[in-house]
Amino acid sequence: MTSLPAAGSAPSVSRPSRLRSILFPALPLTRIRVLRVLIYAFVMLDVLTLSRDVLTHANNTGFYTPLALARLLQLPAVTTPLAYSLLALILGGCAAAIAGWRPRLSGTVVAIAYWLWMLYSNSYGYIAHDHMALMVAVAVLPTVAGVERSGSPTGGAVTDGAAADGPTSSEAAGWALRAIQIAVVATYFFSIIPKILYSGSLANWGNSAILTWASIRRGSSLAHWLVEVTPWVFIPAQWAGLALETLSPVVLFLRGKALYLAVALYLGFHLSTLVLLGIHFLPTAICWAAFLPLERLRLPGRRAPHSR
Amino acid sequence: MGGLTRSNDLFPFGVLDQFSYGTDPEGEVVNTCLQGVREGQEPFDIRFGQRSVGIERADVENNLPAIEADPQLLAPLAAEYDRRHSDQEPLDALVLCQRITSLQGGTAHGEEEFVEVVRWEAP
Repeated sequence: MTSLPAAGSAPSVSRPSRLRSILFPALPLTRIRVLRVLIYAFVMLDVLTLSRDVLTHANNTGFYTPLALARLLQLPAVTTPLAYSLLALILGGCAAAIAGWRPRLSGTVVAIAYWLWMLYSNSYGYIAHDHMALMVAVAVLPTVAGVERSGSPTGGAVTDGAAADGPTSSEAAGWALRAIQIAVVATYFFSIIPKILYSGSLANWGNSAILTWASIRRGSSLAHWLVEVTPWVFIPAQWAGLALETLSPVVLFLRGKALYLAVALYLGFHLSTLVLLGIHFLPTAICWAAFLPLERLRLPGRRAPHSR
Repeated sequence: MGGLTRSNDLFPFGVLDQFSYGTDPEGEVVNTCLQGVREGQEPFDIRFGQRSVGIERADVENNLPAIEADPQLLAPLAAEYDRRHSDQEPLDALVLCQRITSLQGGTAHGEEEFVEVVRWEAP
């Protein structure tokens, strides 16, 4: 895709151009650079903690029920050597990507290995619904090229530095960020469909005892206290959750303080489910970073922008 | 995509059905549990998880019919637990159980009921 300047667009914009600016907005490459660090660092954390079950699934072959993509790829049940090989590829690829070394190559290695890892993690019964945006993120980040350092001592090596020469924004960066943002929003918005399908209507779900159910099964002491003392609080909480899910597409069109407020609202929602139910949704929560002006953060090794 | 097919098979784009079944305020809450059995001891609760039996509760719940048909599927769980507790006697049995709480007006009501679902016996 063409690299474009970050400046504003022309005063009169045709409809195709407007659509293009929505789907492929020219956004700062430094935002991608910072997002790569966040996403790949989180992927490392994920495979070592939250999704570590692939290592133990090697002992549970009787539970292996391969998902559609796993069947398509004819993946056999995971074995210990395979699990550790994937782990090594993911950790090595993430470390390289965080260091900014050949971001497309290292990102592609991570994308393939991590998707295989997650297929294994989810082919033994439990399906993680909080990983969709993260898996989209690792798939689309390698589509954004690193930056050619024309004057670098490595003779023009492709790296992911922020202080490189060349364009500061690109439509490729905008498309990748937009794809992650849409995946984040879809995680909330499309959870409405099964609620209607399985509960009959959103009203049935909103008025049900689902949070009581969750609190009894996996709640913290605070959640158990709420069940005993103020069980009525769960109904408005359920309706508030429904409102967040239904209105989530609006976030795609917010800017400035309204956007930051919305992001804080959704992260606050996850904080409350963490405190009450131990459900963190971290893989989705980390992807909310794709909505933020990360280019304003300073990473180690990044030069501050020149003032001219 | 998964929302239309009602299937998680299309992971990571499967149906986002976690917590989508609205619980009847007058219904019940089924809490799946594990109990270890050693000769001469009271049965004791065992946590699910990678650091205990090597598998999460949701993995077991989603395979419940298969486990009921073949309790031998619990053998790797017992083996993992024994491996992590090598200073203790190995399990003589592993019980997959349910604790059932009745709801009334959307809150817990009465004593919970304990149900043994299936038992794996050490060979």
